[in-house]
Amino acid sequence: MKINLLKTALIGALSLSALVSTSASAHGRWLLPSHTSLSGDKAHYVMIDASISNEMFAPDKAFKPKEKDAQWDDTLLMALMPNGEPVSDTIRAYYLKRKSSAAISLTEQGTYHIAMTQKPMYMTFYKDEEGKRKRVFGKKTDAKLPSNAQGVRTTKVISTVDTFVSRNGTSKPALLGLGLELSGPTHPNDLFVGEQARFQLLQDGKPAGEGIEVNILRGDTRYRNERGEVKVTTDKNGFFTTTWNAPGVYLIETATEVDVKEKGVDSGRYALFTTLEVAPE
Amino acid sequence: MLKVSTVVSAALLMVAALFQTTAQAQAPQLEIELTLPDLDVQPYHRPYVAVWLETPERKHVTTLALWVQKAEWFKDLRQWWRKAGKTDINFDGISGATKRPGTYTIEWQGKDLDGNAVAPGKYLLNIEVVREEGGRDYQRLELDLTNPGKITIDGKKEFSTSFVTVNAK
Repeated sequence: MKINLLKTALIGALSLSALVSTSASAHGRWLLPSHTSLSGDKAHYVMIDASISNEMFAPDKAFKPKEKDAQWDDTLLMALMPNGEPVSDTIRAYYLKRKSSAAISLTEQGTYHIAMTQKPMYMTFYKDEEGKRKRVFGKKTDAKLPSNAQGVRTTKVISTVDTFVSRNGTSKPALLGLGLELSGPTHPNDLFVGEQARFQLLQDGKPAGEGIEVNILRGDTRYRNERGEVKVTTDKNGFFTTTWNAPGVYLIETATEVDVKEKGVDSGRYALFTTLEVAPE
Repeated sequence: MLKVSTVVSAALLMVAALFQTTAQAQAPQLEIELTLPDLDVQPYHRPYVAVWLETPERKHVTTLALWVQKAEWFKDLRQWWRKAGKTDINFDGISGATKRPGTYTIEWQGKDLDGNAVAPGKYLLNIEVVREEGGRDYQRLELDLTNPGKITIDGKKEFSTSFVTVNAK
């Protein structure tokens, strides 16, 4: 079931968040940086891997380039410099079947916010004549639907798949401003075992609501029998806290329902997949 | 780790009087006897070492020793870098070559890297030792610059039992 869903979603190279009713999706979409903290005078490259997998952070399915049979995608990833401007260099993500990889040159001092380019994705759900639930990509006004489709609903999904890398010290990360994302007070590149981290979940740059469940999953799930996800809930200003009990790379995952006033769209959804690194004390 | 301070608090009181009478006017504020063990491992790379002071709120005050020459490797001293690396301080004056196994005495004259006197009071002394292709040891302990005495610091593997002496000013 999970695998089938995953495959289906990948055919479209798009989010499958809309397929699950809760934010506790097991299908992680993620970026994995080669480094999260760099020092030194020379400009640094950071390598970013992007993939979709259930085994965190082992690559499984790559995001397919937009162009058919393309070997790379220059639009898959974006990076905001510490000053908030996008890096001007082309970020070429090579399509490597199970993952895409890109090298990004960091020339500035401070924190880079690196993300998959956020593109709205539309999915249309309906029931066929036998009452089976079906789904197609695209708005209901554009999608090819059987004439007797029942309960047709279109959902617009915007996913944030992001991470942070700091060079020669940290700075307040620039915000994407669209969809879900994490903000301080804790800096995303200053995470250590035994310390409490406090983040604010933002929705379109503003505090997200209360009671949103956030899943915190440590990587290397392949090498343990229990996934051991930690679930926390946002307070009224979107804040949540967690204390790291093991070092590693973590995926922070959540989703919210949002109002969409757009012709042919019935509901909206934001999803978040943020990769963070936690150091041993 | 912080239990070190409680363990030695009694000892501190006992030696305090002794130190007040013997301390020279020129004695450094802090003397840290740091021992890097002779590890029987291949390959062996000399460790990167950072010794620094933080406020009780864990803000970097000053760096006492930095045995790593290339800024490229600063990040491997993870605790030091997260605190000191946030500042614009130039570490050229304090950074030095890595050192072979042995016991070294680091003297601190009570001044920050700009030469300004550091106010008396409570601080956190941090020692971080990390060896390429090896392990990492990190210890943090409370000390009071106005409370003379000798404190034992238990290293685990990358540094051996070491000592810090607080001298009266």
